[in-house]
Amino acid sequence: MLLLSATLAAASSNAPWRPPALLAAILTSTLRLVVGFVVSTTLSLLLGLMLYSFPAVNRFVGPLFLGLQTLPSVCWAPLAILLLGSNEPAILFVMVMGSTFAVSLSFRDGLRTIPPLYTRAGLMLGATGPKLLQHVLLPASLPALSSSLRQSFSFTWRSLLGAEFIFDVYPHGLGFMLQSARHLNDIPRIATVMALMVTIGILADRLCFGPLEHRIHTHFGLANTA
Amino acid sequence: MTLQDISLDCSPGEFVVLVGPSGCGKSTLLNIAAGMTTPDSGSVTLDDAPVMSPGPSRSMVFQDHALFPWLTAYQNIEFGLKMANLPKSEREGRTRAALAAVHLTHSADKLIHQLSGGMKQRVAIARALVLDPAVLLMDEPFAALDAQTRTLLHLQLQELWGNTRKTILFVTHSVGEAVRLADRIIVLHTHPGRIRKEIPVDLPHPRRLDSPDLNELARIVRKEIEDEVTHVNATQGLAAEDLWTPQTPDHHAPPLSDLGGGI
Repeated sequence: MLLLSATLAAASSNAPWRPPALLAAILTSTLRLVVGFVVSTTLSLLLGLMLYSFPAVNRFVGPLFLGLQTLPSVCWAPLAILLLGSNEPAILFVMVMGSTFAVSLSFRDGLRTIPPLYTRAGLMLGATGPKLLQHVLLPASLPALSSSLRQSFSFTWRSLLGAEFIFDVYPHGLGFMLQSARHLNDIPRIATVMALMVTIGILADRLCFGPLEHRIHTHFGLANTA
Repeated sequence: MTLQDISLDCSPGEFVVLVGPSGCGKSTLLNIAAGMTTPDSGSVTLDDAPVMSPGPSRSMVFQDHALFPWLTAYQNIEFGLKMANLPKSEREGRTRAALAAVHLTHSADKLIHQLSGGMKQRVAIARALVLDPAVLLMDEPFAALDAQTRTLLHLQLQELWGNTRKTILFVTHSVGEAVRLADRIIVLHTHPGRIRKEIPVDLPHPRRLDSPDLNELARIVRKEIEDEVTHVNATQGLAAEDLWTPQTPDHHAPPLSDLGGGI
């Protein structure tokens, strides 16, 4: 797909193709992605842990989270513009809102799959209170954690591209490139940018989240590597 | 209500086995002894001190081993010592000794899913014993194992018990297991769970599986449990056609004289 769009782009007679601008856009988006991922993942994991540990909190805000996570991330954009303006914090806001609710719910559900037997064994061996959390519940949640990280990445990435598409914030990221290609009536350029978005998503999954999940699953004996 | 009016006293170093049909509260009784379940009334004391919560003085071996999959065999055994904040040198010595006691020194660094079912249970026993508990509680620890492995583990457990002289409270539904291991067998009653019969076993250890004494004892225990199951079926008001007792097969059925329908 990348090759195809590159050929198309080369054949395009429209506005001249400037690879440096594209490279800058990739860097910009990646940087925003890293920041957004770290912030929203941290928040999601803390919220997920809270929903899991305090049933009262879960009963109160659980349904709210469930409702809010059905919102597509770009639906947070109007609110972000009015609250924060069209700027970097607004993009971060959209990323966090677009991923946190869904990921915290999935992390909570992952924590719920921890066999209660581990807790009983931990208590029997003298792991109480914070020790139980640190030495039993957290390690036991690693498989749930790895899939939540993966999910968090894909939600943050989608939200980021949507936000960049809507906000005209300098430096411009890939989402903005897509928008400007549309204004230039340049289909090959649109295809190229889309292909880049897919490629970055696949690379992150293959180089980072896939191996992490595989390692954890192998360690836990969950992988089917017979 | 699962259990009612149960009083059980184990003397130090005694091997007590609880047997009974499913649902009679064997495991509940064990959980109460461990402090995992709080009884509605009554109390548990260990050397005159009340038991309020689970803890290392009454370590438990679970049916599903309950080993931590993110740790190696060695780290699993070391876990309780680490929770007790013991210095590393002492932890290492005790963990190595426990591994040696269950003959698993060669598998110390294996992950749990790399061990066989029998090895997992041996690690679980080592993890419980390394804490030097006053009482060892075992909840059907060998139920999920194949017969050969189970026999081997019976021998190992008897060897361990002989060396350490721990008080063991052991739950099983296998009569063979009970007569092989116990100093005293307690047959439980269902609905509500009560002690139906206490059978002291005075045979010397280790016991031979094929000894007539053992078979006679197994017969007595089995009879108790069968009577109990029949009693439960009768009291649960089952319809007559649902009540089934073993029948002697009739090998003298009349010949099929009308075979062929007279053609």
